[in-house]
Amino acid sequence: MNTEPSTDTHVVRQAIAWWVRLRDGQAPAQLMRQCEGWRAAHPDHERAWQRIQLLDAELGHGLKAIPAARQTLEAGQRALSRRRAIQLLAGSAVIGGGLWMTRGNSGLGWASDFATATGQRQRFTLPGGAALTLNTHSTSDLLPQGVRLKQGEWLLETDKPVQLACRLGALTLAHGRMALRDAGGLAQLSLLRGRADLAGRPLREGQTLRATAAGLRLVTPELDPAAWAEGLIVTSGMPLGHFLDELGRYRRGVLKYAPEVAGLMLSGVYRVDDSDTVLHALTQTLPVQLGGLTRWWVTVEHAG
Amino acid sequence: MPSTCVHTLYQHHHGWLYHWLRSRLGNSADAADLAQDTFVRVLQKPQRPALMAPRAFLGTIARGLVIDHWRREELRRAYLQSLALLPPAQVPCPQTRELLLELLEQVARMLDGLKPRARLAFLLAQCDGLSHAQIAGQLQVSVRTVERYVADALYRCYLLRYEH
Repeated sequence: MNTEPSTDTHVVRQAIAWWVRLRDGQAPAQLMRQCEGWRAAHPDHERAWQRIQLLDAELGHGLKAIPAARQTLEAGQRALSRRRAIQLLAGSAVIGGGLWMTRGNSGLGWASDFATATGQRQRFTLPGGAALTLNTHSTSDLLPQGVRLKQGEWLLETDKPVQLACRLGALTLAHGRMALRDAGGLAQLSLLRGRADLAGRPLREGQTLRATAAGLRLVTPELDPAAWAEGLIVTSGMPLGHFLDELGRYRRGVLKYAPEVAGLMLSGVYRVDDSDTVLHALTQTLPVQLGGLTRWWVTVEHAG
Repeated sequence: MPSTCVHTLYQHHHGWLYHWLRSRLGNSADAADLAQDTFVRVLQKPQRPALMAPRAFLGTIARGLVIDHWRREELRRAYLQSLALLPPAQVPCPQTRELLLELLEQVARMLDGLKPRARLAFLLAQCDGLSHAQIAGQLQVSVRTVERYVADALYRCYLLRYEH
């Protein structure tokens, strides 16, 4: 979501007109000077101009990296138009049918998924009052007697017993607070407070149990397992590569890094909701630099 | 809007919405996903909507999500077909594929509603890097017209990128 004030339509239109005139790169020097004059005439002009440049870079950088991007977009659009046309024909009849079917069906209520998009966190209240918070890109189903965790990361807080089904097995949180994760190649659960058992095996407060190739193991996690619920990544020492993999879970675009920077160690507290700032901060504390910083494409490389 | 309000909306209308979506999508898993997404959208709305007609309200959100869902499906199909033509070494890994698809989807949403020729002019410029003169030649229109097409498309992208 963009919270900056919007720029006047007329100014945006003017900025685009300048950009279009200069796009072909053979504009006469006089025209370029006129454009510079327009940009300097008001801060809003310069701001709109910069935004156009950024937008053009984002689109161009991403689209040119995709073979046959134009053909793919055109084919997708044609197929979508066909489906839309069919939907318009069917529309009124279907709505009528839907209204008719609704009677006696409100019991279906909680039968389907909870879900969050990339970069989103959301807290849900389960029947019975337990609070389930989903981290970025997570899904779960409500079962008649509890919750199934499908993919992503969750925080469950309850004062009554809740049954959970996850990759590690069937578990009961009698009361307290538990963080669970099945994302980015890591399946684990951490009992932060209270009482719980996994397939009859009691867990102790503060324990983290992780699924490994050799079975379930008690581990010391390199990340605070529940800090994400406050929008934070908290680590007291982890390799940069793992950190960027983690940060990438909150970004919609590509976040890549060169192999030679993957082993650099870092620790600290980072805000996931402003990952661009986090990436810039890394260049201050580690010998790294950023390449192609756009919403859709960032690379972290060795500096110098 | 307060989550208790959404809770009530959910209890009274989720069943209806699910069936409405299922009749449209012909698939119960997708219908369940989109019904859920519809309520997630409602929760994200900063203002309390006019709940005089809750089903019309939910239906409007859900209709948008159905279109998004179809757009994603069709783009995925078209993208996989284009990958099939590439030498195996150039096919990106599944994770990169998902991200590139997401970019394509964003662009497709930005360009949605543009006239086909304006859309094509913009894509020839952005994807293929053609000059306005080359695009004018290909579309059999004047350079001025191409400039207008590209400007209109860029304006639409601008609004979606910065004003939402």
